[in-house]
Amino acid sequence: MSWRHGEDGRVGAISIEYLDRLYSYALVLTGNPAEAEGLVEKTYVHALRVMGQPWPCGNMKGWLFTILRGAWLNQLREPRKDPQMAGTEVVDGAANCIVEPSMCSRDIYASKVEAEQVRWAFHELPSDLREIVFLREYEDFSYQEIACVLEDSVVTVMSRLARARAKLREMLSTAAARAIHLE
Amino acid sequence: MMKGCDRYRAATQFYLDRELSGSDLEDFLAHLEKCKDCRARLEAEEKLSALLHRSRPLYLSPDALRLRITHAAEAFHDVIAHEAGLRVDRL
Ligand SMILES: [Zn+2]
Repeated sequence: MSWRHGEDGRVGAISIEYLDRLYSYALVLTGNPAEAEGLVEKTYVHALRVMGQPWPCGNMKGWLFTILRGAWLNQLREPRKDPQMAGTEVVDGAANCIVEPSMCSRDIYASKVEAEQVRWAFHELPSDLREIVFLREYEDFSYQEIACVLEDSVVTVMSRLARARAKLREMLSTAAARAIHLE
Repeated sequence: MMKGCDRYRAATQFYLDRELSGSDLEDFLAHLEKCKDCRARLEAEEKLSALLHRSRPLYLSPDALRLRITHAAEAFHDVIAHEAGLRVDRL
């Protein structure tokens, strides 16, 4: 699929380049693979419909993330049609060796344990802190871009990020201390 | 801890997130040279960041979803192209 930029920075076709990122964001928000897929589909359908409008958050990626977040907020306001599945298995794409085959041969055990611990701590975060860490550390958005996606102030972004990191460090050091104790 | 380190607490995070520039950046780097505590704080922050980066990507989208999105977009573009064609015909 192609994507063409107009002279004014608008886009004439939607790229699926950001599909994995959008799906990850949807999973971070919902914690449910089926719901995440639905949100991503809604995002693309909406994006195709309003194609050609200027991007509110500076670039296509920010724009798509904004649409997805808006769709999620709308969904939260709707009464649920089906009961939420408790404890839905969250698919871990990086745990297998598809992503980076070199990781499978090189000291795989240590790096896998480490990555699993980090993902565990990440998932233990309260949802607003998890979202901010995702947008900054996994998606590399700037403070300004995050503020735009969240429709909040840069000051809020900064303080929330600081809280999230403090919490992550605390959880990871507790986990590390426990691991040493068990050895 | 050196006097005024509190002032650099936020700067540590800005620096880590590449949000520090100009004289603020110079000021922070100059303080880092002199202050062991702030260097240690930055190192701890960098370590956490690196850990998170090493656990990327978090998830991969299912192939079925990729296929559905691709088809939806192609169908949509076909409709647009068709409509554009009709408009041209009418002229
Ligand atoms: Zn200091």
